[in-house]
Amino acid sequence: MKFRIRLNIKGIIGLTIILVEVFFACFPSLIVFHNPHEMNYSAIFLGPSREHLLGTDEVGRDIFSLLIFGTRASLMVGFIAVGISTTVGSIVGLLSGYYKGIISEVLMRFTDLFLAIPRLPLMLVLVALVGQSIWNIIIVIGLLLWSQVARIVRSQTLSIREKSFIERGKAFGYSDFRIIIFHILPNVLPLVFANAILLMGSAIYYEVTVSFLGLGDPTHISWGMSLHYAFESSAILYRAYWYIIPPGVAIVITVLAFTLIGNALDESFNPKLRER
Amino acid sequence: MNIINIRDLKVFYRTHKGKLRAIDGVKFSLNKGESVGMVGESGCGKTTLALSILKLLPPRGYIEDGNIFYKGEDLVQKSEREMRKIRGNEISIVFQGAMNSLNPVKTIGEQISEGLLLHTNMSKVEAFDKAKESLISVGISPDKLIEYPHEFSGGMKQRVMIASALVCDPQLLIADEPVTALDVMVQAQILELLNRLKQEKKLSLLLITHDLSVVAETCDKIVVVYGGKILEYANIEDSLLHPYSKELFRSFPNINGPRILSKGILGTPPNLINPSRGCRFEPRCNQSLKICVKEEPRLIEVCDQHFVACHRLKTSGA
Amino acid sequence: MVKIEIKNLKVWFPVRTSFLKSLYSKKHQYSHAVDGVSFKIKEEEIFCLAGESGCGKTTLAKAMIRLIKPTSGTVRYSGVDLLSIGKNEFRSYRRKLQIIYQDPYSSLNPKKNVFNTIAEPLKVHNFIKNFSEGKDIITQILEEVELTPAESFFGKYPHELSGGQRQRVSIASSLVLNPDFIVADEPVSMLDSSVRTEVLYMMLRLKKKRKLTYLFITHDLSLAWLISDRIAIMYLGKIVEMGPTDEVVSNPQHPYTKALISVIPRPTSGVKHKKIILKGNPPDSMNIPAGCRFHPRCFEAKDICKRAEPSIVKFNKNHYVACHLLSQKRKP
Repeated sequence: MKFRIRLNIKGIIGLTIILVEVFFACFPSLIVFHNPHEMNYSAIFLGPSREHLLGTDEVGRDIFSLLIFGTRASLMVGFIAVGISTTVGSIVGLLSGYYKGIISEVLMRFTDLFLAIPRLPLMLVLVALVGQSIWNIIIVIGLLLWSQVARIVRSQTLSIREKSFIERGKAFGYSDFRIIIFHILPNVLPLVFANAILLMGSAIYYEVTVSFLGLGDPTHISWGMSLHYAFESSAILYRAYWYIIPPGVAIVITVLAFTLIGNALDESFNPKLRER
Repeated sequence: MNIINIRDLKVFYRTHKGKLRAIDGVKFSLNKGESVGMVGESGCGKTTLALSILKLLPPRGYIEDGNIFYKGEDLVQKSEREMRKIRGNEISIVFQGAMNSLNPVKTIGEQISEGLLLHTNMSKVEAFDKAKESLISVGISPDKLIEYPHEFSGGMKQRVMIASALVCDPQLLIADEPVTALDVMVQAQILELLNRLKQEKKLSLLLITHDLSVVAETCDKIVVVYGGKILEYANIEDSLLHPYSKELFRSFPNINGPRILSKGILGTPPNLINPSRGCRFEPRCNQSLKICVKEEPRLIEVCDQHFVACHRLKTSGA
Repeated sequence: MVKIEIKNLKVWFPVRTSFLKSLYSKKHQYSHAVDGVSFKIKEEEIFCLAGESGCGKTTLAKAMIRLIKPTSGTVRYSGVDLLSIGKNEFRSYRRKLQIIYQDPYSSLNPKKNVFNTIAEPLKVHNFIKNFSEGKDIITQILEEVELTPAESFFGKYPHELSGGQRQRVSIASSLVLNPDFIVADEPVSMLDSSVRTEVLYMMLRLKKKRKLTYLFITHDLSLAWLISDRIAIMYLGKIVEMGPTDEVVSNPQHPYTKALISVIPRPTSGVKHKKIILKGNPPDSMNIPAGCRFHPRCFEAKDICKRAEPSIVKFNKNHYVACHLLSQKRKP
């Protein structure tokens, strides 16, 4: 199997941002001097200074450290939740696209149901029910985003199964399993991959929203939690812009970076979108 | 009087490997009311030539050199705006697989009259009447005018495409593989239609195809193209003389001839990025001479209105 | 020896009706793609099925090798009734019955290279244990289809090959299982004229060498005439004329065959022959006209043609025709 990926300049910018963030997430202590958990009640709501690059929060924690350590949670949510939803979505999409009749109908109606449900309220209810841990949040997000993947994989599968190399496989006596895994999957994979990258942006957004609304994991540092605390501690009233802006900008940059890569991949896999 | 006169036309494509010489010095003219069939293998530059006449080349293609005179005016010098007045109005084209180029959400009538509304001052009603006339001329009942393309079969769609190409009464119709994807019976219907329109409307026709028998059925003259060059230009009644034309002719089953399957022309079409110095067909030719490798043969008149580019003919003729 | 024999084979597809329609009409609509066809193909014969698109020729051929499930009828291959045996038992026949597709661009998996494309059927049928083992077999088969040097093609992907080369790879992978009955569904119609003859020539050579039996499907009668031993002309799911190719082409009896032969384009100009151009398009297989199914387009149709369907009768030795006019002519 061979992937030929050609990223355009936008894609390269996006990829660079993500790689830098991955580095932050892996080795946060190489970047920062403060322990993000360390509180100091004598230094609350301090503005940016040499000691605290982005100032401190309402309990005297270093915001720059919180920001760098928060990368890990966001990326983890992005990668794992998308991993779950892509796997589930691909399986459902492949099966419902390949088999006609009752299996396809049932799987598709199920997908439609998930597409129709308002995601955010359901997510909040589910997180509240299963408990506010980062893993629960990841699983809930993963299980709510698969329906989109299933739709895309199904439509692609439907068009590939009409190609004569699929019927040809049957003439060679290949099993359905072999045809799905070795012949259809490799042909839908590029699209799934590009879509997964785009989906990471949404997954990160959902985590931020859930955390901001107060259902985040209090034991983990994340950008969403930072925003939540900033809001709770009335940082706006103290005009502590250094507390509110950095996590917001970090979220926007990350989501944008994923979108840039996703679009670049889409263009690279889909010749019709390539520069005309 | 010639309607199209092409002089030393060179059309190149920019590729990442270098310039691709799709048309490399083509010279030919088409007289009024005449029909010329252009044959050759795929990738020999037939379609490029058609597109360059209308200046509809893809972004990578450009006219490097030469002139295309249409009624004495050089199309190469014309601006995009001026060309728009010519396309569809004076010169029309029917593309390969044209039946897929109908807009599914517009009625047949709307699509045929679109060209009229664009090029003339006709009112919608007048244009619709003209469209009706055009539809009748291609043998479709006028009450189909208000129907949508999905109700039409492949052959009927192709007729609609011809009707909309002819609705502005163009002087020249370029048909690029007009029957290739069609069934034998539909193919015969379309060819008969083209033959009839040619006579009724005194239309000049440039028919581009890979199928020699289609040319034999509809055209007065034949042009054999190979590797961006014209190898032979002859009246349809003349027997072809160039080794390539002969091989091409032999590779078509002729139900009146012997029942033998020819071996085909061995080898592959030439590389157009770095073409050899000699004759383009030399590597596949079974009658090549020493001179063929070194020097490119020029198109010479071997007898009345019959041009061939082959060293062998020149030497044997002299 | 008869290689494959079909009797009264029918393939009907249920037509999807709208939900509303299905409420007030209980009757199922069917598209009669193949509507009762019988013939035999002898060993090492090239049998050609010809007709316009939509006449059911491809469906018939696919039903013969069990790629489509026939509605009724029998298919006997070397004496075995292929339709009555179970899925597992059929597996051993699977490799004997192969198909070559029309479009070399969609019949190869774009994500697989030449080596794996050909090695996969070998592995599935346990001819080889792993992919590397097949090297000799694959080299040999690539040489047979004139893709040399074979090794240089191993790593190539379909998009790196020309149309003719793709079709050769496709043929190679069909032949690698040593089949003896091959359905060739318009194998050259999408290829360039010079490549076309090369591929046909090769197919004929392979037939001799491997003692293959071909069922050749085409809409191009001149091609059929060139290569086939016997020909059957199909119209709307039925055979209207069948016989030795030479005889059918030189002495067609059914009006439909006459028309088809008259419109074959000829590369020689000058001698203009009379063409019989049929009006209209073939009616669809959902509403088959009563009587002779060809009568609405027939230029010789009589009253009887609207009423009764003609059965296929012997015209002379090995030459069968389904037309009322023929039997009428002969009666007096």
